[in-house]
Amino acid sequence: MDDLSTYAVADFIPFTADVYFRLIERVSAAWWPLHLLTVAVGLAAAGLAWSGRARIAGGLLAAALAWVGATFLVGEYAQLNWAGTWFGGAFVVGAALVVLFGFAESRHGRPVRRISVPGLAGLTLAVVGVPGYPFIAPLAGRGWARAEVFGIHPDPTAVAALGIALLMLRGYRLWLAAVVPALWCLVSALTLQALHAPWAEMLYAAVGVALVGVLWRSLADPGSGRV
Amino acid sequence: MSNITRRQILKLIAAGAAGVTLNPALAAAPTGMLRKPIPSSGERIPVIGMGTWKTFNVGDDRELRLARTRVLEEFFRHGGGMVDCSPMYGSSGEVMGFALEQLGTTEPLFSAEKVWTDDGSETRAEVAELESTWDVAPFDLMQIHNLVAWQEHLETLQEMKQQGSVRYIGITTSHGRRHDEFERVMANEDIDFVQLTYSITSRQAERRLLPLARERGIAVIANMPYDRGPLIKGLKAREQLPDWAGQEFDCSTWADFLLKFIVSHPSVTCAIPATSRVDHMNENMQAGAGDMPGLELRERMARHIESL
Repeated sequence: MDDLSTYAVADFIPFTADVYFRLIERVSAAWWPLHLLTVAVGLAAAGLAWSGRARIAGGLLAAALAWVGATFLVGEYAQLNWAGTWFGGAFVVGAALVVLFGFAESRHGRPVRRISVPGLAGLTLAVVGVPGYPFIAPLAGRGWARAEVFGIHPDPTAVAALGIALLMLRGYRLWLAAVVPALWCLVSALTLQALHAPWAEMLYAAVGVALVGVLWRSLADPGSGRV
Repeated sequence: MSNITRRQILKLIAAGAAGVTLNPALAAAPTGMLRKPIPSSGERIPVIGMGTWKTFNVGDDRELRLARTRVLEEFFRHGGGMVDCSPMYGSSGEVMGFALEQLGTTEPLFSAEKVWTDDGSETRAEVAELESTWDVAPFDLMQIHNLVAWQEHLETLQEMKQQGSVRYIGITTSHGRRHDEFERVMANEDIDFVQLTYSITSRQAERRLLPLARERGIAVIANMPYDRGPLIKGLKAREQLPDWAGQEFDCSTWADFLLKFIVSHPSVTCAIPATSRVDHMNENMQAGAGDMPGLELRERMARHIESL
């Protein structure tokens, strides 16, 4: 335990800020204009989850998670951080869970009729993660080239995944589906904090909002049709 | 002898030539870079080396790879030798391989890598993979990273050293971790190098490890000379170099002040600051030349930093 006290978060981040943000930019440039399709997929997944069509919503979200896990985390990020392969694998497992739970949920999927706290939390996270996230980099003065996009980069994909899961799942399925994106948000928040990126706190906030939504649904509204 | 390569012979000749100097402990190479002997062999290496943690981990970004090549080129131009890396540092080893290929030479490199795996039977396989990554063989120094599975790795590395598959072997730690176990290995095992954290603000090693290294004839590599970076950044941003530093010894920058403090310790063989910038490399390498502070001056330097 003495050893742990000698570590700083920065000791676990094996790259500099410049290298990481250039990676964001290079991946974005490499896949353009796929961004237009992935954002459309994200919006469709959120809309379908809202309307109770969990099977298709789960499939679309899973495709985005698996794609980001394979292309960004395993294909690129793992070059900088040996743990990237594990994170990528976790995204693929998360994708499999979303597909599985989407199918299971679709048997009694119901559209939103009344806005609840979990539904509002889910909608907020989906809006931030899909159409909202690309604006963060330019607003932070880092330009559009370093904008992060759902289905291309892991942070917006994980934030949106939390939101879409809140819109389409409940019970233990919601808890399990939220694990991978929530953990990634925490890992990324710590990374961004160590790299002095001003929007790191937003990822903590995303996990906090998701936790409130999941707890609310589990404790106060476990079996109703409300989202 | 059958395993000695042309490169090793050239190094031995260079080491011998450098040894014919007035000062047996601190000899200047043609570039002005001072060299200190590795106690187990007498071979002299430059007192300023280069770390690669974070700075060389740029993945397959060609633009940044070329920028790091320029940093390495500057390091060599100043007479630098030791470059230290680890499999834990992401793509740093691959980037070193790229840079060496671009420069078209491994001279005057003193290559230092680390074994970093829990599996004690994987020593040879990991060394072979690292040789392939750098396109360098044999490594000058192979260390056991943070004492991970050290008993098994050390046994194999000692065999490999006897076979000429590595030239020197050592162990590493950082930030003062596991010093008790580190000390036991130093006291009881046959190793050439230790790598530990030592700087003007991290002097824990002075109590036991540095005296033991001297007693046991073990070379010392000082890592984290700038305490992860904030030390020199803070000094440069907020503090003036004291006038007496320039008058008492060759000190014109904070890099001189911090690095000369480290490499002037009698037990320290070299320091390995890491940088991704050519101008910072220039500063670092300047610190390896010129007058070094003596014992009293070192204490004055430490008191000055404490007073800030």
